[in-house]
Amino acid sequence: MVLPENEWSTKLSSEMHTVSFSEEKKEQLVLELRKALREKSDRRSPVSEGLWHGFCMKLFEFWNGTTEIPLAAGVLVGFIIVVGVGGLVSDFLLVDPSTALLLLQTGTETVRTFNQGVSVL
Amino acid sequence: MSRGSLAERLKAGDEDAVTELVECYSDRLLRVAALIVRDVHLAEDMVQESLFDAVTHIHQFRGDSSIYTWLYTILVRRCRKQLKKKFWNMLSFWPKERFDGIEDSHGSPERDVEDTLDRTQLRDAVAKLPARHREVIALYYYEQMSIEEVADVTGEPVGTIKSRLYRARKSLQEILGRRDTNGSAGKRVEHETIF
Repeated sequence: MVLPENEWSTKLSSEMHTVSFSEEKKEQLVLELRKALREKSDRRSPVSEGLWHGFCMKLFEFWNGTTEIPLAAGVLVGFIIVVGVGGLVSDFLLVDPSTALLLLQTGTETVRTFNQGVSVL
Repeated sequence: MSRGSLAERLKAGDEDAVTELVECYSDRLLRVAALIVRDVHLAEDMVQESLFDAVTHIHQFRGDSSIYTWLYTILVRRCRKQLKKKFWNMLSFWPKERFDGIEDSHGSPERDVEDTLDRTQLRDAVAKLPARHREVIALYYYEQMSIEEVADVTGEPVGTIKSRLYRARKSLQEILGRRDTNGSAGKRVEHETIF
């Protein structure tokens, strides 16, 4: 027989009852939290620290919440990619004035030819 | 001891309040997290991180809601973030019996198969629902929160929660019905066991 809906809460409670922290883990957790609370009280920050600190914290929280790559490693990898790819692409990105002029002229010629064709039609 | 005073004591840096916080909430938070993320060990991490966040950001708790609702809000956000890491989740290949490592102080070695089947019937069924449905089922049925409280915790409108709960309920009924048909033959469908 399918479990009736009005018994779901009781049934779920009884099924989940065995899921709990062990006493050691609870003690460990309490110790860590106490330490965190103590540290927080010790360095209770002045309000002036506020904005920048808050922004950094949010940034770190976002990073840590969405990736599993440490921030330092991420920055390093990004830097290496930029340096590596930059070296390869730099030749294409460099603009020589005479080449640029030539490209511009060719472009203009093409457009002119196209326009002439359109006006003939 | 009222909940409000617990928050005040934490704000004042009272370390005994931390013990009270852990004693009162850690197991309940763990069970909800386990239902949402479907992995007890991961759920333990989620709860530890959530409690850590709560303690270190207690000054941000304005007291508009109860500390109970606030804690669940932090936990649900944490669980959502964890579930968003889909790529990593895909790589991890969860073993299917996630609750087996947990000590069962109420069980006996001679527990028969039927009893075991019955014992995890609902949580196994909940585990098959999509994440957002698991959230509302855990909060509404396990925590027995009102729809408004679930809406507060999840940050969704009441109407959304109502419709989500309706769909979750229907899916759960279907799963339980299907499981009942399979279970009547005394067989557990292996791939359906997620916890």
